[in-house]
Amino acid sequence: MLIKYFLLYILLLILLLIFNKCYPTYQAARVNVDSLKTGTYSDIQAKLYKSDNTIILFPDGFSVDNKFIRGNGIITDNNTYQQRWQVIDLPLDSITAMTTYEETTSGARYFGSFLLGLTGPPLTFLGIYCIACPKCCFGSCPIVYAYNGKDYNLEAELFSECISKQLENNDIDLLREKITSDTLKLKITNEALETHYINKFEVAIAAHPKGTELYPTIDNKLLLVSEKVTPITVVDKSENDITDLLINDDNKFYRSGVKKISELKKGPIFDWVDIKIPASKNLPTKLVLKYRNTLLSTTLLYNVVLGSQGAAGLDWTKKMNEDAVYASQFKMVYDEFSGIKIKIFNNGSWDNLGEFKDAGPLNWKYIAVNLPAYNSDTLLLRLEFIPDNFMIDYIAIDTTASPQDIKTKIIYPCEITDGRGNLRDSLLEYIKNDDLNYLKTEPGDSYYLNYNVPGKNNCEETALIYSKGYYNEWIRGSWINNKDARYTFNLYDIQGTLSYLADSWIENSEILEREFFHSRFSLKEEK
Amino acid sequence: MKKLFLTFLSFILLLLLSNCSPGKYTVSANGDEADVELKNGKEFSGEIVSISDTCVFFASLPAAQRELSVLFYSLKQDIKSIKVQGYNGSGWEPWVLLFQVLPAGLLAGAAASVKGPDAVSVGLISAIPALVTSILLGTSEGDTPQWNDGQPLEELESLKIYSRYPTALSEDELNRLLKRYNQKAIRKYL
Repeated sequence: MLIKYFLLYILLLILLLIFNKCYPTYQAARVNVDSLKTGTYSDIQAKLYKSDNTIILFPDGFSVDNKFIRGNGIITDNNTYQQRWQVIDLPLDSITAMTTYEETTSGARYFGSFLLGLTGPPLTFLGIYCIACPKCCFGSCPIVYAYNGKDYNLEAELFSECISKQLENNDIDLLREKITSDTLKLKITNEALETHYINKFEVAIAAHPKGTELYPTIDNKLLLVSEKVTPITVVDKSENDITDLLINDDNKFYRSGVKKISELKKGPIFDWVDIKIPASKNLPTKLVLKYRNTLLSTTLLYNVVLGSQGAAGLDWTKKMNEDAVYASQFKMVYDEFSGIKIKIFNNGSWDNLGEFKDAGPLNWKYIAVNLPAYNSDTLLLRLEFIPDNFMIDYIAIDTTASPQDIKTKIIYPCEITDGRGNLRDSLLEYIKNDDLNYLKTEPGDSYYLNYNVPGKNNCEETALIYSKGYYNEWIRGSWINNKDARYTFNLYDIQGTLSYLADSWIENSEILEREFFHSRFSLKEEK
Repeated sequence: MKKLFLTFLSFILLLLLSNCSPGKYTVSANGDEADVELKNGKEFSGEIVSISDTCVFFASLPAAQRELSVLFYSLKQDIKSIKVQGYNGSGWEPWVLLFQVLPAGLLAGAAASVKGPDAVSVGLISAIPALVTSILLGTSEGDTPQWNDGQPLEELESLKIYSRYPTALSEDELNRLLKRYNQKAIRKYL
């Protein structure tokens, strides 16, 4: 497949070579022959007319010497109109008219042409590649798609922070696709250079009262929200008011920006947003957050942790899978700097309430937190995170004490097929329970799971995915070939790691993002 | 493979940067091509052969090499405007559309189809090169040598420099040209 795209790109470049122009500008000027000084040379194109209307061209310029104009020129025969190249030596007084054609292209024009030549081929290639296989460009981790009657739409990234066996963990994801029929069709894919180990993949249908919305919580429970209101104010660390940005679910998000990450070089510094929210005295308050990761965490794993080790990254992956002590130490450090910490201002200090875990870089995640009751009608919350690690799109509050009337039922697929259309019902045993059986997927694998959904009785139904598993990154050839001699990942050198992460992100975030897109893997599916 | 690919890409890009010749003006024994609009609303493109006191002589531009060119003229008083081509560096717009705007649209479409990253943002970001290129090329276009009927008729003489015979077309020369174009008489453009 890669060779196919490579050949396509070569073809494209050849076409560009043929057709790409620099769009120079020119100016024609009549020259007074008498003004031509002897001993001068010009590389400007010129056209000369003799008294018999013979036309002489100097495409490469001319020189003037002893009242003669000389150069390699083209003479057009006045009778036959045949043209021939020859060395021309013409007395100036035989010329009746002379025109020069001087290039007047400006620097801006050269730069414009340069930019077109520079960005045109890769953009065209990328555009064709991405439109041919959108998931190859914008996919990641174990990805789940849901069928809406026409297409499979991206719905969830599973256990994105579980990068080794020892870090295997549970995850819960909400399917935004509303259940409108008695069937639910899902697709689970591996579109990255990773091996995925899916221990459990269960779909639950949660029935809840009409008018309520169901959200998974930070501790993998479920929470009903019935009357969403907006926060009173939201300000960032620099005390900029970002309330308007975060009160609508519109994909317009807050992000620290690349500049703020340079602070990490001084030490473990966090960015935050402070949220003042309404509350009912002595009643729990519910907060819903829509967010996702930037590629910073991916950079940490790809470039800093694995890439900096070169070939030793293989040993590190093995150690993370088998050495429980080392893996738990890594998790402890990782947890310290990952996720969004939730803090509440109480009696003059910030109390920890938990954290929103990493969500992955592709799919927005909606997670709720049930805040404890306080004797106040407003609460001040702080969401704290490593600079530029997250994009936060939406915050909503529910201060009502809505009944948590949720009935969930696990459903199992009635049919499983792989990407090539082969029936694979036996795979159910691998994903059914949290046990020692894993569904192992390689880059390009995809599976279609069809479910029968039980009829609903005057209530809302929301589908959820309970998953458990982990994945191993593949070691890229470039990590081995281009190992940075200045730094090798050391779990216990936290400052060194943060500093290298900051440098890597500041200097290469755009390139890294491109690398990330290029490493997407096309699915092995029947067309 | 990746290294080979990058080396090849760098080589091609270098070639692209140094390969400005296809757009370069090359001096020719012929006159320059001009877009002409007549007062009766008709438009044509042709080579300016000569400009006399009363009329402008043109040669048609054959679409294929085998096609015969035709020598014809228009009276100066019938001409609404003449725009000489090849000097202002125009013609970049289709290439920007094809190789920068369209790919940006494809990327946005791809992003929208998987409902992953914000498609509008992807489209806008990838359209930045097109925007910058358009601004640079759009604001640096050279002057187009031209004349229109809002100017005095005498100023049409300034376009003589772009004609095949800028001095004048003698009777003898005109006859030779007619013979070359296989015509018995010069025709008026209707």
